Amino acid sequence: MTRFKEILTSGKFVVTVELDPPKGVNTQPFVETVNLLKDRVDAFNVPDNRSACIGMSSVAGAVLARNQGAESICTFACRDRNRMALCSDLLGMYSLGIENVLMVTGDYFSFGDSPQSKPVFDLDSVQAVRMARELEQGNDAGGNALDGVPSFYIGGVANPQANPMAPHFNKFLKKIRAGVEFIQTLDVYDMKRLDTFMGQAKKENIPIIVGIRVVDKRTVDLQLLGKLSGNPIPDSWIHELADLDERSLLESGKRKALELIKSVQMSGLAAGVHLSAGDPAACLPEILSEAGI
Amino acid sequence: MEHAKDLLDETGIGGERLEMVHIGASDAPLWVEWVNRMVDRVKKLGPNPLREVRAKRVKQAQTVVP
Amino acid sequence: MIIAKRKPLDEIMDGVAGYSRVLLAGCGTCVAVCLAGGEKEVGLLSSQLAIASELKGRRIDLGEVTVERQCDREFLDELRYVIQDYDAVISLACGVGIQFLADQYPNKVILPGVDTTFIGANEEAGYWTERCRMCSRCYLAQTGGICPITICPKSLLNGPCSGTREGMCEVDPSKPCAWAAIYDRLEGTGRLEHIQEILPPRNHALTTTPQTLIHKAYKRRYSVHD
Repeated sequence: MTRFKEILTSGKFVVTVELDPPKGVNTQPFVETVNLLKDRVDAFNVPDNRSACIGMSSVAGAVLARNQGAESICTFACRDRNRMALCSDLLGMYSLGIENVLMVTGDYFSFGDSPQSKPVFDLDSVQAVRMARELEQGNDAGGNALDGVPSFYIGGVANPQANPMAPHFNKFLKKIRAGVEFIQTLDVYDMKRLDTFMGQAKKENIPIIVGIRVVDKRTVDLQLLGKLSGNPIPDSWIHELADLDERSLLESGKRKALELIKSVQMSGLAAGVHLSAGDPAACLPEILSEAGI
Repeated sequence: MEHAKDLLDETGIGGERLEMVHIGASDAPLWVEWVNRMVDRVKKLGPNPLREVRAKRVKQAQTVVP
Repeated sequence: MIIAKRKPLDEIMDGVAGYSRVLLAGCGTCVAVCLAGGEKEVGLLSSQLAIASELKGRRIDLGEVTVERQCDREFLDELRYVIQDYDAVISLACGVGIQFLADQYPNKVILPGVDTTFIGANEEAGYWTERCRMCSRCYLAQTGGICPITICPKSLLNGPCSGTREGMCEVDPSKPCAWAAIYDRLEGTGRLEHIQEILPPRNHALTTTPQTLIHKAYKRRYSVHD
C-alpha cells in the first residue's frame, strides 16, 4: 500500500498540490517547491503536458519529487501516448518507485502551445484504467505475460460542476467499475453544485479530493481569451477581479481559495482538497496555515 | 459575389474592381451615383494591372533593337 | 461524399511554374458537388491562371476537360488523346482521383489542385460537415446514430471527457459534445444500457493503410481465398 493510500484511507483530510514540472530541464524551482511544501502536504500531483502545453515528462517529475522524500501522484494523459507507450511508462514509473497514478483523457491541443501535434487518444481514461489493472494481473495491453508485475494506486478525475451531469456521472461510475480507487476533481467554484454531486456520489464510497485553484491574473487572462481548461471562473469573480492589478488580484484569489477550502473542510463530505496555483511556493504556505493545515 | 471578388484578389487583379448593385429600372439617380462611385474607385485603384503588362509587351515588340 | 477545397492560387502557380502547356482536369462527382473541382471550377481556375500568369509575365497555354469521375479507369481513358498535348496536368479531383490519374499516365506530371479534407454530408448548399472517419468498425448501433469517433475530437468510446461545458465541446464551444448528444439520444429511445457498459479499446489493425476491399462475390476472380 502506498503512503498516499494509507493517508487517504485513514480518514485524514488530505491536501494534494498540483506541481508543474519545468518546460525545459531547469528542475531547481520544482525541487525547491517540493522541499518547501513536502512536510505540509500529503502528495504532489505531477501533471502530464498539462493543458496540452509541453513540459518535462510527468514520470521524471514524479521521481524527482519522490527523491526529495515527498509522495507523488504521476498523471498519465491518453492524449499523447498509445496503449504501448502507456504500458511502457507505467512499468517504468513503477520500477522507479512510483505507484500513485492519475489517469486522465487529456485537454485538447487547442488549449496548448503545440496545436499542430497529432492526437493519440488510442485509449480513453476508462480503458486506460482497465489496462493498468491488467498490468497488475500480469498482462500487457496485447495480452502478453509480464516478467514482474506492478501494483498501482489509481485515481481518476470527476467534475462536480459538469453540465449536463447525467452523461458525466455515467462515466464516473464506469471509471469506478474499471478500477479507480480515488478521485480528484476539477477546480470547483460552486459549493451548491459540489454538495449535490457529493450527495449523489456518496454511495460509491470512494474518496473524493476536491480541486481548488488560487485564481491569479494569468487564470483570469486565460479565461477572458477563452483558453482556460477546466471549470470557468464565475462571472461574479471576474467582475470583481478583472480590473485589479496583479498583486491585489492574487490577494483576492488567495482569500477566495481559502473560503472554498474552509467550506469543503466544514462540509465533511470530501476526503481532502487538491490545490492548484500559478506559484505554489509563493501562495500556498500562507493558505495552508490559515486553513489550519 | 464576394467569392468572385476573392478570386480576383487571388489572381492579382483586385476584387475592388468588381461590384454588383441592385438598381431599379426607373432609378436613374442611383445609377448615376454608382457609375460615379465606380469611376472614382477605379481611378484611385489605377489601371488594370493587365493593361500595363500588355502595354509593355506591345512596346517591346515595336522597339527596334539597333 | 468526399469534401475537398480548392488549393490557393499561389500554390498552384508555383507548382506549374516550369510548364508552358497545362491541362486542367475536373471531376464531375464529389468535388463538383462541393464546388471545388467540377467543370465550373475548372473554368474559374483557368481564367485565374491565364490572368495571373500574364501579370507575372509567364506564358501558359491552358486546356480544360472534365470527366465524370477520376476514380474509375473507364473515365480516365477518355483523356488519353488530349493529355498528349500538355506538359502538366492539374487535377481538381480528390486525392483518389489525382493518384489514379497519375497511375494511368505515369509519364505526365500530375499535380493536385485541391486539398482533400473529409467525408461528410451535404447540410445545405455550400455547407458540409464531417460525419465519418472510416474506422472500419461502426459503433453507431451502440451510440444511437451519433459517431463518437468523428463527432468527438478525442474519439472517445467511453465519454464524455471533463471538458464538456453546457453540453458543448471544449475544442469548439460552438459544437455540441458528442457524448452529451449520444446520452440524450439513447435516453430518449430507452437504450442507455449501451453506454453503461465499458466499450473496449479499438482495433487499429483494421485501419492499417493502405486498405483493400474485394467483394466476396469477386474473390475467385482476383484469386483471393480466405
